[in-house]
Amino acid sequence: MQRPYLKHLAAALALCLPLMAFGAERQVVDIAVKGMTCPFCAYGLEKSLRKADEVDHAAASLKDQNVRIELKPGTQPDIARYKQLIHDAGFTPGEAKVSREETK
Amino acid sequence: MKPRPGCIATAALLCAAAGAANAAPLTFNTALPISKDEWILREQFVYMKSTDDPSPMNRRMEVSGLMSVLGYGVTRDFAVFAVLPYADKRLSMNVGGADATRSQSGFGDAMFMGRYTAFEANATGHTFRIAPFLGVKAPTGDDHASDRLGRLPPMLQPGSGSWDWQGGAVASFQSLDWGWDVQLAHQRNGEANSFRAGAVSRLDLSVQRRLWPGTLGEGVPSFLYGGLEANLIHVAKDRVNGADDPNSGGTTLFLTPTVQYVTRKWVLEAGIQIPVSQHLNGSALRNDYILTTGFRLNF
Repeated sequence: MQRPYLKHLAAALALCLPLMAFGAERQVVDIAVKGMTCPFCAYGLEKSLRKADEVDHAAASLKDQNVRIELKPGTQPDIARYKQLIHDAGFTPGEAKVSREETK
Repeated sequence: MKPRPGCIATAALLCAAAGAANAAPLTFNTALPISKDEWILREQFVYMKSTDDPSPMNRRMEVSGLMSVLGYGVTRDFAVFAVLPYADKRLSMNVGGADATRSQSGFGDAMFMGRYTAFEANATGHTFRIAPFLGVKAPTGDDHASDRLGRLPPMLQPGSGSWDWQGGAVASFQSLDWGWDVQLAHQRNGEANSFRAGAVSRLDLSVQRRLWPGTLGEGVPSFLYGGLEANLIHVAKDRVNGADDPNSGGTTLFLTPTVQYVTRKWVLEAGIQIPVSQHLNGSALRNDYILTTGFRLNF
C-alpha cells in the first residue's frame, strides 16, 4: 500500500530539483539617498526600511549614496512606501530602480 | 563658607547630555537626526577636577558622573530626550589647618528636552540642519542632603530643588569626510531653598574629520573621527537670599580634542575638555579638566 505513495513523493521531489538548483526569482530596488553621511544613521535607514513586510533585506552604501532593498520572493515593490520610510528616517529619497535577481 | 566651585563645569556636564548624534560633538549633543520611531541610548562617564583655588582654603573639587540619555524620534523632525545624571561629588578644603572633606552621591535632576528640525537641506553626501530645542530640568534629585557637618551646600547636593529651563538652537553640517556643528544655548534656573544658580549661556563649536578609512569602501564601514570642540560658557552669579554671590559665575573657554569610533549600531567616544581661559568672579574655583568617555547605542 505504501509503494505508490513513495513513488509519487519521489516524482514530486524530482520535479522540484530544478527549482532548488536555480532558486526563486525576487525583485531588488535600488534607491538613491541624499543626506546619508555616517554609519550610525545608515543603520537607522536600514532599520526603517525593514518595517515594510515584503522587504527581506536592506543594505545602505555610503560610497554609492544609495540603499539596496531585496524583496521576499513573490512580492511586489512599493516604491512610494520605501521613499516615505527613507523620508521618515531623516533623508531625502532620489531615483529608484527595480531589477530582478535569482535567490541563492 | 559658600563656595560654588565647578559651577561652569557642572553646567557643561549637564548641557552635554541633551541628545545623541552621528559623528556628533562630545560636549554638546543636540545635533543628531533620530529616525522616526527610533531609540538611542547614550551613556557617558564624566570626571571633573577643579583644584586651582584662588582662596587660602585650598579647595579641591572632584565629580565623577554617569550621564544616561534616552532619545526617541517621535516624527522625522521631532525628537524627545530624557537625561538622568548620577554623580559622586567630593569637596576637600583646608579649614583651620586641617583637611576636611564633604561628599555626596546620588541621582541628580532629570532633564526632558524636545528638538524640532526646522530647516533641512539634504544633498548627495551632505546634510545641513537647523534645529531649535527646548528643555526643562525637573527637581527629581535630593536637594536636602546633609552630612555630619550639617546640610550640604547647593553645589554638593545631587539635585537643585528648582525647575530650570533651557532653550537654544543647533546647526549641523555633515559630509562623508567632515562635519561641523554650532550650538547656542541658554539655561535659566529657578529658585529653591533661597538659592538660585546663575543662568548659563553658551556657544559651542565642533569640527570632526574622518581619519579612517581614508578611502570609502563598499557598504557601511565603521568610521574613526578626530575632532576639536570649543565651548564658550558664561555663568551669571548665583543668587543667595536675594543677593548676588560675588564668588560665583564667570566665563570659561574650553578646548576639547575628541576621538570617536562610529559603527552602524554603536559609537565609542572620548575627549578631554581643557579650560584655556577662565575669567571667574571672586574666589570661584577654577576647573582643571573634564574627562568624558562613553558609548551610544541605536535600537
